[in-house]
Formats: sequence, structure tokens, C-alpha cells
Amino acid sequence: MTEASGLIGRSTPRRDAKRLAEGRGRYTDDLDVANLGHVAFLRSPHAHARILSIDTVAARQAPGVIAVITGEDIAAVCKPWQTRLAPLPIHSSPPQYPLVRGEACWQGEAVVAVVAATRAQAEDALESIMIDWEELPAVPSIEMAGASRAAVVNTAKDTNLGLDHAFTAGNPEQAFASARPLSSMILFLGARPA
Amino acid sequence: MSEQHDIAFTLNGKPVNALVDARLNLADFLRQTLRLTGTHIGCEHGVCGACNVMIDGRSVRSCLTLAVQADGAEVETIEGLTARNAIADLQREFVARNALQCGYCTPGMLVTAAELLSRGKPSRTEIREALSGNYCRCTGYQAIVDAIEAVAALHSGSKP
Repeated sequence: MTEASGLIGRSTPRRDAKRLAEGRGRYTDDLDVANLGHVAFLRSPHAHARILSIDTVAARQAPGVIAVITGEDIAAVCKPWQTRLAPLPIHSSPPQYPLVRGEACWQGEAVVAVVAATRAQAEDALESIMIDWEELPAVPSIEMAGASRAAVVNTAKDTNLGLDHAFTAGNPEQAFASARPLSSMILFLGARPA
Repeated sequence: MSEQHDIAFTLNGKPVNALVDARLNLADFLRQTLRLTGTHIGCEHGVCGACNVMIDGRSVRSCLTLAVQADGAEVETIEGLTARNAIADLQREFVARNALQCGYCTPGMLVTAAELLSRGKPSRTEIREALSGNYCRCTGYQAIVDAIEAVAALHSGSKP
């Protein structure tokens, strides 16, 4: 390959860097659209819990509220995401809906969406929503999830195992046996439960 | 929730008078009421630094500051700092090193850096310490620290 006199191999200034460094970027939340509604989410306070009932009557009548949307409402117009691995059909993953239907499986999972004229009104309305929760056993670490007789993270499945898959290339036992020095490390990202 | 207050303060060198809800935070006032969208909202709880503005010469989280708290103060946003060339050196070095990708964190980074440099020449460790309250989720901090260090050296007339 010959070194061209053009752009290849050369540092070039970014055309929009100056604009961004002056705070003149335009991001989604910067757009001022007429009659824009603002959404706020009621999120699960529990790591794992079943919803016995949701009462949104007061929220629907709160000032400025345009819509109150539950998991059942949105499921009528939106199919769940479900991970499938074509080459590994034994992989299993429960369906995931945009909003909780029946069972929250992580703390912070969105349960109800309120759309209102302002963000503050949407948040006010959230406070009037009453949810009757039944707490289920929480599984706070990967080790606990993998333990025998572990509680299930999601009752749509009867195990926490998504995929059990091993593969080898060459002869790893022999390679490890002859390798010197040998070191191993377990890495945890984020907070590790005590 | 309908309690309101009259406030008067200086914003980017010009007087602002407004009647605001008691609960309105400064970031929302700047962005939504005044349409100064250079101040960004990331975490909304004082962790990410994207909303940093200058209040009386100090960098402040505008998402944790109520608009009424600005009453009587001198407030400067990225728009004002840019307009009076207060941070032109920093902006030039950020651009020269591409110390930004999406640019969302950049105004907050620049406010933090401007406050830091106003207190003298920081060491590289002090620059990193000062930036510990500003999250960048795409560039990484190396080029940002380099840019601030270059300006610090420029201001003190020495090589970094």
C-alpha cells in the first residue's frame, strides 16, 4: 500500500467538535416540539415481586395527565423481546415486556408510565398510583442464582440457567498442564453483594 | 405544589427576572424556560456533572440547585462562558485533541475545568481529582486531562 496524500493516515479535525464544545449540540431532549408530552415511570421498589393489583384511578384524574399506561395496556400493542440464539436452540430466556406484566424481576424495572403535560405533573401523578405487591425471594448475585435449589429470578422459568454450553479447541488440559506461570483471576463489575 | 417565587439574578451578564415554582430546579429553568440547552441533564441526582454551571465563580450542579437559589447570584452557563471567550483556550485544546465524542458531558467538563484553572496550576492528579465528578461515557478521560493540562501549562507559561 502506498501512502496517499489524502486523508488516510492523517489526523483531521472533527467538523462538529467546536460546536459541541460550545454547548451548541442538539440532542433529543433539546428539541422543542409543540404539544409534547412528558413521561415518568413508576419503577419496582423490589428486586422480585408479584403485582396483585394496580390502582391508577387517581393518577388518570391528576392535573395535566394525558395517559396512564400499564404493562397490560402496552402488551396489547407491543410484542415482548425474547432472546433466541439460532445456533444454540437450548438457550432459554423469558419474554421481556416494556412494562412489568404481573411480576417484577429486578429493582427499578418500569411498571407504569404516566404521560403528562409536564414532567413534574407526570411525577406528581405517579405518587398517587397504588400497587399491591407480594414480595418474592430475591436472588442478588450470580453465585446465588447458580446455587442448587436457588430461588428463580423469573417464575416464567423453572431454572436460572439460560445456557449450559462448553466447547474446546485443541487440548486445553495439556496446554494448562504445561503452561508456566499460570495465573487466574475472577473479575466482578460493579458492586458485589457481600 | 403551586407555591411560586419571584427571582432576580444575573445570567451570562444579563439580568433575569422570573416567577418560578418553588420546586423548579435550575437546570430545568435554564433548559426549558430559557431554552439554554447547552446545560445538559444526565443523572438528575448530582453524580454525572453534565449539568454543571458556574454560580458566583464556582461550579455547581444545576440539577441539585433550585431556581430560587439562584436569586441574587451571578450564573454563567456554557453559552455565556463561550460568548465572552472565558474558556476559549480550553475549548481549543478539547477540539484539537478530540477530547469529546458525543459532546454531552463537555459543557459540564469545561465548567469544572474552568473553575479548577481559576485556582492556579493543577497537577495531573489534581485534574483527575477535579474531574471525578464529571462522567464521560464515550471518550475516556485521557484526552480531556491532556487538554486541561495543556491549558494549565499555557496559563503558567511552562511546559506540562
